[in-house]
Amino acid sequence: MKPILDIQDIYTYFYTESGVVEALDGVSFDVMPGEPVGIVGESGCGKTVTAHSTLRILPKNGKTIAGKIVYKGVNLLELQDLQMRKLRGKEIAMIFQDPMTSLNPIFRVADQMTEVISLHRKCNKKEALEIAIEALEQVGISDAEKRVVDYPHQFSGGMRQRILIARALALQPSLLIADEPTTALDVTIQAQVLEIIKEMQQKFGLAMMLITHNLGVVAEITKRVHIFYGGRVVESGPTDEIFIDPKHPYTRALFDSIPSLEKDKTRLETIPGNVPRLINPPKACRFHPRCKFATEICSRVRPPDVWLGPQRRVVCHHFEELDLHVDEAALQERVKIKEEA
Amino acid sequence: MQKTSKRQGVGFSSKLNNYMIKHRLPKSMIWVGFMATLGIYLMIVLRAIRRVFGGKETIIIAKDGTLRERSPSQWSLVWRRYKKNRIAMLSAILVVIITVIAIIYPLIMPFSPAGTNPLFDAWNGGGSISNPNLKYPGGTDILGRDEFSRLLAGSEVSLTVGLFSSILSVVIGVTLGALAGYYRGWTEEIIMRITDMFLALPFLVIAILAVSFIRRGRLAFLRQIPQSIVIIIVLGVFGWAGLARLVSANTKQIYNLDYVNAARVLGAGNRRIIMVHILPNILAPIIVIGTLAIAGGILAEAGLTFLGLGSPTTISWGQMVNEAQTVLKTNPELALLPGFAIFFVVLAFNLLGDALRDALDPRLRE
Repeated sequence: MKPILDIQDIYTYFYTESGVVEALDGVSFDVMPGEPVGIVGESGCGKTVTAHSTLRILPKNGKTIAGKIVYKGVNLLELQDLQMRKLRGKEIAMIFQDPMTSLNPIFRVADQMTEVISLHRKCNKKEALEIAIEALEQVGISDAEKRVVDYPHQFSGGMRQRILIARALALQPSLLIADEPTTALDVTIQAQVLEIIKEMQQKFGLAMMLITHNLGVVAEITKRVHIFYGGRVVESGPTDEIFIDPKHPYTRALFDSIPSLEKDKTRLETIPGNVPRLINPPKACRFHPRCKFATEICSRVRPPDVWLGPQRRVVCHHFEELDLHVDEAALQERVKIKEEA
Repeated sequence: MQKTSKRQGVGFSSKLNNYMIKHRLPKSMIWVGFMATLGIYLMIVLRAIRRVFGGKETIIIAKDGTLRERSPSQWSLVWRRYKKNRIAMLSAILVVIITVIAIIYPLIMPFSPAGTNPLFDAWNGGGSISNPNLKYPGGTDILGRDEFSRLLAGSEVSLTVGLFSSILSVVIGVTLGALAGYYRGWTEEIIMRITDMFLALPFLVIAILAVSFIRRGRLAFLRQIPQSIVIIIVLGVFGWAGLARLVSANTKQIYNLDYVNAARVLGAGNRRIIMVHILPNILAPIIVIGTLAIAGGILAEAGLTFLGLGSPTTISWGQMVNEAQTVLKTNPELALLPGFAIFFVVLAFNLLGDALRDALDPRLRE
């Protein structure tokens, strides 16, 4: 099967006054049709930039200078603006992090829902409104018919995120990019919204790029995960395998720093150091200053992508030695998270 | 006389024409009346259509048959807040009255504002520079023209200049500001430097220069342009810089909000994003600045004509103050009356602007 979205070795740089920010430094991964893929990493590791590069909505000072983003056989980076516009919303939809600011405060929900429909389809207002209401009902907005005439500020955060999901899916796109769709919501609402995303994904057979730093969300929804660090993919593979057997020291450290209810620990495991600044990032392996297993080679040679299986990849010089240091308790913990999901 | 009336017939238009000539009404009255009639007619028709086809009802009936009130629109909320403010209502009423006077003054003024007939009416209180009396409520000026009629007629020029110079500067300022704030980079650099340049110009000096260049310069075709249009253009062209800055800053602020990005992700183009998503969101400050610019325009027009840049044939308050200078000691009312007129109109528009700012302020939104 051919991937619906194939990102091949893209470099996205931001040109700021204090220097060039190497936000994406040779990122490649793919998304299969109908497959939910997770993108995980700390803040500032390039997850959102990847999404914005894909849709080409980077700010003025950002540019994808190399690589290919192939969507259904077409390189998005070579498209004309007009062609790109026709793709956005219709083929590739996106959900943003903060539902409170993603809706224009001065228009009624009906207007905002029908905007995307009238942009891409030739139909009159009434038909567009019908499509919109249907979409809203699908995401569980009761009384959609009556509520479309309300303004965004009359809806709660969870409701607004549902509206945004409905708007993103109104035209049945093939690929959905969800950029931390639950981060701005409180926990109980998070669960509901996740449930809806999952349901919609299965119903429409959507390919999905779920960007998050919440490993629980990844375990629940995705089939495959790409772990980002410092503008690069450090590890990728099926979600099950990554949870049970993380190969990269960063992935392992990430899992170790999940707080546990059962382990009787007073201090939470952390990764020493800070997220690297991407102006003048660490040379070679970007994780080496914070890595327990780093040796001299890590600061000298950029680690190659090592493919352990058709979908399993790890980018580390020392991943084989790492297997010797498995922490049994932590492994149990990860298995549990996965099973709960 | 009988022959002509027979030839003209008794049709409505000729009757109207005769009436206009008889009462010395300007042609523009016909247009104002026509537009007003058309407007009222359209309103009635639209309301009827809306009633028949059931457009925006305040009560919505859902599929399940329950009723629900339609949520109020942003503008009705603004109106609700506006109504609560007494000064706001007062200033609005004042502005409406002034506007109505400026439109219908030919109907209510007792004498022709340009005619010197009162000069030959000295035994009834007329003559040259007479004191105010019952027949001539504002007295008469040096040339024996009725001051009160001139006062009423002056409102037309003042309001036209204020309104259209404000519209012109808003159009220029919003366009340039939105382009600068949206496209950034070189576009912004160029537009903002031009804006800085315009902000650095001493407004009154440059306006005087520009008006005298157009009105009294060597270029004959420029001298053909009517006085008030010259002032409108000069005020508009030199008054947009502050607004451009404001719009540019606001556009930048809105540009970074998620819903603009969200609109782009839906496939909206640049033009749509500017027109539909950015400008309506910064409409409030634009309206406020625009209203205040009307007051500024009226003041500037009065200032320019007072300084002698007006034409003697145009009736304007500044011109009247200018002409009253020579008799200021003996007949101060000739300067005071147009002075107060300027004062009240500017005050009314300033209060209106402030009231609009309060009503539109999103921080007070319910």
